Amino acid sequence: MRRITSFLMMVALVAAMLPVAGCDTTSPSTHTEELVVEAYLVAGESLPPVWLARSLDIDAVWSSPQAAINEASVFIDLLTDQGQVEATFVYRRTIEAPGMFVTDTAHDVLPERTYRLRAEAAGLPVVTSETTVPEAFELLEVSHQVIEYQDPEQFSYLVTRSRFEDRQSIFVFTIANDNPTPENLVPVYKDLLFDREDLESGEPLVFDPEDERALRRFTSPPINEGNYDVLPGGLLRVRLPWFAVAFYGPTEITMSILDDNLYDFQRYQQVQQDGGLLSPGEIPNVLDPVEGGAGIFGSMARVQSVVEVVPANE
Amino acid sequence: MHQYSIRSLVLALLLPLLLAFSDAQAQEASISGFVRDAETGETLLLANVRIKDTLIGTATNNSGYYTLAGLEPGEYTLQFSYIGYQVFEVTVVLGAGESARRDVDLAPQDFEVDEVVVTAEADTEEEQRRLGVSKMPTATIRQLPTILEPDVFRSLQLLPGVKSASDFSSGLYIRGGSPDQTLILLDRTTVYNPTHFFGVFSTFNPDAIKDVRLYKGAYGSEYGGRIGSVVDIYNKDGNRRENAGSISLGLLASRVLVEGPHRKGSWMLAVRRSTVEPLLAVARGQDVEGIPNTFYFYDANGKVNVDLGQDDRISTSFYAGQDVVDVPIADGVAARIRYGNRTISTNWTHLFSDRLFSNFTITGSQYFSKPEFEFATTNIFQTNDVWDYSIKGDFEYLPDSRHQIKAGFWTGNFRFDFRSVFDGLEGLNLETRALYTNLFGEYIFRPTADWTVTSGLRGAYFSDGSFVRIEPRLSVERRLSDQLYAQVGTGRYHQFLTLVTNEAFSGLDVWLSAAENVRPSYGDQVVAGLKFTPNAGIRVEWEAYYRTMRDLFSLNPFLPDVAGLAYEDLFHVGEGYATGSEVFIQGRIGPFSGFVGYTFGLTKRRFPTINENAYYPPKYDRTHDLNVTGTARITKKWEFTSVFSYATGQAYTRPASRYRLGNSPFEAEDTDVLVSPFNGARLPAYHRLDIGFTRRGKLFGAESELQLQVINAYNRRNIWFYFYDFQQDGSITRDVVPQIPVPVPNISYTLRF
Repeated sequence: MRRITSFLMMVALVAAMLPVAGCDTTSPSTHTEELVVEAYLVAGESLPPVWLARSLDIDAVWSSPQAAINEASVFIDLLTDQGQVEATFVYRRTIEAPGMFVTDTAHDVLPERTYRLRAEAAGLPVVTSETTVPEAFELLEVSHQVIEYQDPEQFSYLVTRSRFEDRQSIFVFTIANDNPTPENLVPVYKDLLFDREDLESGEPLVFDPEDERALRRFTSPPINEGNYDVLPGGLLRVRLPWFAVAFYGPTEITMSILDDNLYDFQRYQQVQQDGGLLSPGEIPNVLDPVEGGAGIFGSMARVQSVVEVVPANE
Repeated sequence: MHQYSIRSLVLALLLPLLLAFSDAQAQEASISGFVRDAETGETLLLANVRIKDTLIGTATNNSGYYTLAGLEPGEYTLQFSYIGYQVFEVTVVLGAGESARRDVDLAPQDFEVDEVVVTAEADTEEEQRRLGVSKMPTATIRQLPTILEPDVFRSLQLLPGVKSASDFSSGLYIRGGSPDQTLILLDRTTVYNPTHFFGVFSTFNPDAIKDVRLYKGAYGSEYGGRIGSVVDIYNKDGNRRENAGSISLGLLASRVLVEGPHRKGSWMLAVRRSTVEPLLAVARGQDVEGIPNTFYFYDANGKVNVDLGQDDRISTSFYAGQDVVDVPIADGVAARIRYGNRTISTNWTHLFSDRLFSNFTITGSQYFSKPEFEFATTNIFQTNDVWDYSIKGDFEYLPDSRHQIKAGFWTGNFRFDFRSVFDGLEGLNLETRALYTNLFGEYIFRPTADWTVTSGLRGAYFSDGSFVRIEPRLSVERRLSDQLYAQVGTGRYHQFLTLVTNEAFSGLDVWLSAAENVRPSYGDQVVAGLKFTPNAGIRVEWEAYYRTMRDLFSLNPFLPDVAGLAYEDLFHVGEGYATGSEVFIQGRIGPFSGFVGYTFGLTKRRFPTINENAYYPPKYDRTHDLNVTGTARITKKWEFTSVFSYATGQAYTRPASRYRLGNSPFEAEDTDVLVSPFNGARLPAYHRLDIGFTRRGKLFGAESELQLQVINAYNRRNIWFYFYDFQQDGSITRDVVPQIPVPVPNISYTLRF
């Protein structure tokens, strides 16, 4: 009898947990439409356009004209150090592109100053976002005007530093080529993108459109200033790794220093795309700086130069 | 709050010792000795020893030694049992104050020995009855159907409370914890990356393993260093009776084991190596692209035992293994990864008296991971090295039948080096040198035959950051009837290390440690259980647990570059909890045997960088998890084994919204962005059936074993994850990345001589 009682007690305990076991520990995902903003301020350059769109349900097919928001009030405020509005730049709709807004006021973006974007469209919450523009920096010297591909003495910049109060500078390098043809590819990329049969056939090579777009303008992930040695006088010598060069010919190299908004957006978006250390199937949201909506309102300082990359045997 | 002085720690450890010594009874008799396998002479760990028809009993310790103390003078019938062995009974007469020594050999169930008393089944072992403890016999590990290779960790994944991340991962996710929350010990030595084949299966060669024990939670104070659980694995000592060996040929790897006696003990050497090179050579000959230039793994386990006398034994064991892959991707583009572990330990077992047992071990463990990538003369490489050298000592003292004391120390030196170089520029060079010391004391008090109270205290010191942590442990067991035991246990646990890993690929694993401004993780566990043995051959267990995980420090996954960052800025710090309930039923009826494990589990995490710091279920959270394992002896030669698994679909992120940024100054391509509740959805339920046939026979006088197995026998297409792909026309496709997508055959042939 005692044995049966004990066993029944145990069964009761197990049964007691079953109602709890039926609980679903996740919540369903539902689409909520948001106002999406996009604008990139560059220190020392004119105020940029602002693009507006609405977010779509995951099952919708993206169409820029359909997603674009063309009726909206858009402003960018220049703020004082105390957060007061020093100047307001009114934006208007332009027919140049769907959802594109521009300002008629001539104003060069001021480094180390804070700008605030305000946008309002019918039926959606008001969107605001602020960015503090990085300190401008200077390109003092480039190592080469023309360089042989894979020259051990790599192409390098000598630049001044851009300082941040609470962090080091974050760079991205953008490498663009005006003649991104398959024939113009450097050997490594040619071997990566095309099968051996294609290369040996003698037929003209044809790019996959996605490959072409990805290589025409290629940007590095965010790179910390800590990678580079600070030279006497507080200058930085920055070398371009050869893997970043996909084509021969004139190559435009842009070195940008990101504000917090762009840095956060880029690093989260990269993990959203690649997964990184997260488990497969885990997709984090991007860390965007937009209150009441989504998208990016960021700023940067940048320098540019052009170097011609020629085959090593020429 | 968590910092205590060393002095108070030492006093706390000594107090129960002093109390217990005062309780010792000089005139009581005792009996002690080693329990061994009659066929091979291997010591049997955690074998059951009890006085027949009484509740007085104990279990052999991690060296196979037992002591029954505090016995009144008289005649006793001792009963020794161990799963898979025949029960052995012996009658002894003990005089007043006598300390008798009785070493016992247990015969395997298929082994004929005149003196044994054969009974139907072994009783539930004392140690296995302990809260949160599971054992996995190595014979079972070799028998279960498994992909490519028999595997210790994949077998453990069948136990309730233990989950796997996918069909491709041997990582142990125990009671809601990630793999780095489980301490992996091989012959008392920490193993830092227990994987081969980049995580597909574990490093432990089942031929070389004698004993595998899993402490799922609320474990005693003799272990520490992880906030979750412990896997304690012991290599075989080697056959003490005769030279023996085995050869196994498998699809992926082949194994050789040799063992035998020497004048004062035994030795064992087991080697395993992958054998896929011929297949790769054929593929290369067919101009298949992406075939590695080099791809292999190997491991070797060895052990030498020397008996210095009846009371002293020394053994030295080693493990060495590594995985190497070298893949040419294109002209000027190549990836090479090399990672592995090496361990060595020397163990001295000494009996100060029949009641005071001691064990001293010197350990060395090294883990290395060296991935290297070259792209158009741009060289990217990373090195992570872990060295861990330690000395540990354990003491067990049994003054009488009511009191037992365990105490010990473990001190050592960690060295972690992590270096990352990109295009000749050193982006990161972390060097950690840390001394660690652990002291523990455990007092087991049996006031009556029905009650057992185990109280313990462990103190841990970690020099990097000068952390001192105290970990109290307590468990209480009440015998409700001869067949039913109720247990509760609780404890606090700390962890000074964190693992940077990826579920899909373990070859790049990096260990990082707590330091100044990076506090160690800690957690509390509460476990309750019932153990029921309705009759011989049937065992029913139920356990429920709740555990917290605090100050979980792990590498911030949203750092694209760590160069120039302060050490503490590498981490994001979060917390979590897990709760669940487990049922385990094991039985044997005639030619049928097997076990059923069911888990209801829930685990949540939160980090400030993910899901807006709200709790979310990690991917490996599975509400229901069921494993059914069965073996049927069809004939004397043929055996059928099957494993069926069912689990709630894993948590995943199902995007709800999307938008596109088309004007980035950085990219020529549009930037597509997804908006989703993090891990807010569930994959379809997972289920799979694996079956296997074993045929035993003789070949040239040697025992042979042919195994034919089919993994995923009914072709279930379980989903590993969904991949969202942005299309040119503006749509998003959801592609399924499957787990084992087709029935996979496995064949192996083993000869034992």
